[in-house]
Amino acid sequence: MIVLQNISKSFPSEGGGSVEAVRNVSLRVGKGEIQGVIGFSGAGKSTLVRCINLLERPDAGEVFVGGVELTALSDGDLRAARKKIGMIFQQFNLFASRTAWGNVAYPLQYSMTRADRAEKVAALLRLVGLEDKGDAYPSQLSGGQKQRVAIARALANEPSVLLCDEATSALDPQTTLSILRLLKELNVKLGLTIVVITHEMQVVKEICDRVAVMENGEIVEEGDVFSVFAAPKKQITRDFIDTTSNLSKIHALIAERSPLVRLKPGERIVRLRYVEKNVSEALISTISRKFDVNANIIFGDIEFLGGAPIGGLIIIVSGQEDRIESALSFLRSRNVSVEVISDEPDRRAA
Amino acid sequence: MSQTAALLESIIPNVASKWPVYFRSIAETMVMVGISGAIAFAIGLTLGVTITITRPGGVMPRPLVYHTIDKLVNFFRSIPFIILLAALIPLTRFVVGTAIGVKGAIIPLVFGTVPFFTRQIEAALAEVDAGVIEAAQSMGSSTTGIVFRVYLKESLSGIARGTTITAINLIGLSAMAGAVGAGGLGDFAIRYGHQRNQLDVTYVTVLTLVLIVNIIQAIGNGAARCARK
Repeated sequence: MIVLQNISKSFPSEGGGSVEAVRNVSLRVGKGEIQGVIGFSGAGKSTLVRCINLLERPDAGEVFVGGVELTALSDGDLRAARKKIGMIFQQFNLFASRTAWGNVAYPLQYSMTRADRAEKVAALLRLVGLEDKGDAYPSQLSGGQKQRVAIARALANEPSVLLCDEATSALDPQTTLSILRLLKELNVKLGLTIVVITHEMQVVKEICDRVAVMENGEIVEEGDVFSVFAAPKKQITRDFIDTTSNLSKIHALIAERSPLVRLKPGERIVRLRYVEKNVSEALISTISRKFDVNANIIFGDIEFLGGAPIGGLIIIVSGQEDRIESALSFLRSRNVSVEVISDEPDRRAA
Repeated sequence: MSQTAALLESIIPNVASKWPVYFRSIAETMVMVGISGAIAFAIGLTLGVTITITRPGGVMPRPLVYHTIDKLVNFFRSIPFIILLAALIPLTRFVVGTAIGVKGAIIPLVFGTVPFFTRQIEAALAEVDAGVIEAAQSMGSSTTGIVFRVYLKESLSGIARGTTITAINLIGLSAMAGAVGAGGLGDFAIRYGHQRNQLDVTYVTVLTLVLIVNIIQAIGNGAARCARK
């Protein structure tokens, strides 16, 4: 549905040189997919999404949407093509001088009769759950309601693609969730292809089918969400995963010598991570029984992505040295990533 | 009734002796301000919009157009109006046939007002959030659509305020134009109040101007409030 080929875009910087916001990025988004693009601020993700509807014209590369090469279109044809690419923004960008109704009607001004337009706007407001807010001005709406109006407006011309530029970043967690659910619903109901730009891993987890990780203007990792989450290849991807997982807190606990993680001789702190979709065995009970080791769970953070568990556990294992070794190799054989974080006994505990 | 007339005659004898001149002066001021204001509004609005959309990073960047207007506006804004009045005499004569009277005042007033009003419009349009413009572009709006349906509509309140300030400014300029033979309240005050030392004429003129300015300000505030949503 969307094909970006070798897109590059740089901006003049204040020092007189230029900043490469996007470097040679290629990306394919299939029809009906929800593609996440995650990165810290300044990674170039907002520039990249603007290259899809050519709000920013790339310096190099081609952009195809629905098989049409946008980068080759005249201004007039590009405007027509943009009507089929909806976009929503972090700051909603509603017209303050128009009501919710007026905002949604804006893109329909010239394309239909008054009666058809009224019907269409009513249907769109109903779609986003704001049928009773048509007369409200943006200043009278909450953040979540504003974004719903923006979504209705973006969908007015029945686009096949919806671009979301940090669409939930200005919203509280609960509202974020409701907006994400709405996007997912639209994706299913209308077969809408959605590109979600975000710096929040939670957003990717919640709705994306695929995710691209951006750093310094480049896509450093791309794949379906489960694979990327289960087996991150780059440090930055791990950093993002850590932002939503509390497994990384173990390092802080060790650093501050929390009593929770003081080891007796022979004990080890181990991080277990699910990397395959087929983990359904009672692994912890199994190793206790089979190898006669004790596993004390310090943290657990397991979520379900596409029906399979992802995440892991931090445990302290104790028992005989060789038994622990066999237990760990058993876990490895069951496609669990095993990482011994610490095996240094605490002197005070010893 | 006659009591009021007698009272006025005793407080403001010099005005009371020439009511027709006084009222004609007010009418002349209104005509000067009205005509030059309408022309300056149309030109200033056009230039303000043009300078906004053609600026680097605007919706239709045209550096040459932008810099030309920008420099011209700065040029005319730096000329004191009283000098502009004199400097424009040949042009005024050429265009309207005379450099004096209400007719002769219109061109200098337009030149004195347009640059200021252009900046007022530019400031009002700058208040429109760049993100909103971007949203309109993402919906496939043309430049014309963005100007009329976004820029002008969204900044209506700011335009009303800028217009009010400019109109009040224009009344000040029209009084100055009066001094060089354009008629109106300025001429009235100078001719009688200053040159013939009829102080009451000056004071009545001042009060009249205060009243007019307040009326314009009230109308402007009302319009801005109406437009703000």
